[in-house]
Amino acid sequence: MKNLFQPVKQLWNWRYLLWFLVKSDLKVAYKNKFFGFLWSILDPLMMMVVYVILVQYIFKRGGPQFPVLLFSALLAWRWFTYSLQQSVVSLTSRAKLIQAVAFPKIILPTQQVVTGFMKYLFSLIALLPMLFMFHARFTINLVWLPVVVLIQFVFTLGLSLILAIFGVYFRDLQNILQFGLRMWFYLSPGLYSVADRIPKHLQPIYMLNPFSALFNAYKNLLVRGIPPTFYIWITLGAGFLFLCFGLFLFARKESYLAKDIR
Amino acid sequence: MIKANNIGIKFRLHLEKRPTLKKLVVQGLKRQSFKEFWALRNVSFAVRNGETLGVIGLNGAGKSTLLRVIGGIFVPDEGKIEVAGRVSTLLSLTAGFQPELTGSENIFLVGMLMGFSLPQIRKYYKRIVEFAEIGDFINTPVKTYSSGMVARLGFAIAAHLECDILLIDEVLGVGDQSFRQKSQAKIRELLGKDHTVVLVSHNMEAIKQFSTQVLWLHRGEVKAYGKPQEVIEKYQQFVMKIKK
Repeated sequence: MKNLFQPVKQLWNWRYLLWFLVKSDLKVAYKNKFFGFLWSILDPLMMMVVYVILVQYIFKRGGPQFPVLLFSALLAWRWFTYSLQQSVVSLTSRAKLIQAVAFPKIILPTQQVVTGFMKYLFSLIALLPMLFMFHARFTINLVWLPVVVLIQFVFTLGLSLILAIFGVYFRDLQNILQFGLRMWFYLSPGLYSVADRIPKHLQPIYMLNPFSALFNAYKNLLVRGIPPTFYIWITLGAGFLFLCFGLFLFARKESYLAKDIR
Repeated sequence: MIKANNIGIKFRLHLEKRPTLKKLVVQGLKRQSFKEFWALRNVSFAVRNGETLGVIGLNGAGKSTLLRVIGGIFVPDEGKIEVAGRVSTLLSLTAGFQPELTGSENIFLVGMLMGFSLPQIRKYYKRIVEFAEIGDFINTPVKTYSSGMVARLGFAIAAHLECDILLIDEVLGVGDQSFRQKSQAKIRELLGKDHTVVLVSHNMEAIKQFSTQVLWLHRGEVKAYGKPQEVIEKYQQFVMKIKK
């Protein structure tokens, strides 16, 4: 246990560097303020349009609020995929740096998760007008939103730390991740709703997928004004386990990374 | 103060490339085939504050590895190393540069990577910019710099952020003729101060001039260690013998 706190302590001691790295990431991404921002919301927007055409016009499914439900799930999903895809190469792509300066390597994947989180917050600005357009119900239950976001943060950080370490030792992980994430998205209720599409007796199993609970929570909170179900705590539990494992890996491998990275 | 006690650094030379998950699934968790290779072994020395340790040896003797151990980048697989104070490497800070960021931002980035706080970096900022001689380019992204400008900026950062322990690798000076002279003068100035210094060089004159003690590494092990004059003499005889 004492081991697990070591990387946490390092993160805290180096928090200014972490924040500096996040800021410079954002600066590069939004260099041209207006177009940078536009571009960052255009991507999920285009994805949404494609899915809306596919589902609503070709398959004739999805209710009147389908676009905004989908968009609220897509934004969270983008944060998640961005963090994982960046984290898996976060150590190997900075090999030269790691072999030149001694600093806690755990900063590198954490930086990606925080940057993804900041971009997610910005993209919520684009969601707001859509919520009005599609007559979302704003209720007091919105106070749950920070809780759900925090749960996703824990879950994402845990997986990112694990992927960062494994990415050093398995060079094809990056490709497998790409495929895995796609599968994961279709197995989660982003494009469809659990109540409509999943048989009743399978729902308890289906909801064990952490992103089932997260997608449901975002849709219900943002659009329908309903608080999250207790499944969200299972997601938190899973996130916490992943986080502990990720911290454990960093505590164990930290001093070997400079040598093992090739 | 640096105190090394029988330190050893072991590398695993994998006979294949980095493993893939695919291979792992196909072959199971069979032990990988690799050769062990000691880049350093049984290396001991002690450098007190204000002293300069010269490190000499042929290429591949483990000199750069030793600098990385002192810099805290590699952790010894054997033995113990104690390093008291902040370590600066005058070698490869440019590896920390982010090409998308401006020179000014990179000064802060590298400074923070070395463990300095923002106010500390601000204190040295002006001197770094002046020394690097890159003028208005300091506010443009580093990716637009020439390689000489990058090297100059890297050197200026390393030379100005105050560290207790300096690690200097071979290349005494970077950039064009005039900047090389300037950087050599700066190194001499730093060597004169009350720093603990580890100097790696093939230039025996420089080693003789600055070192208080010399460590001769050969294939990762200590061949001789002691007074500069004696160790350098032995080393030069050895080199002569090899050449014949």
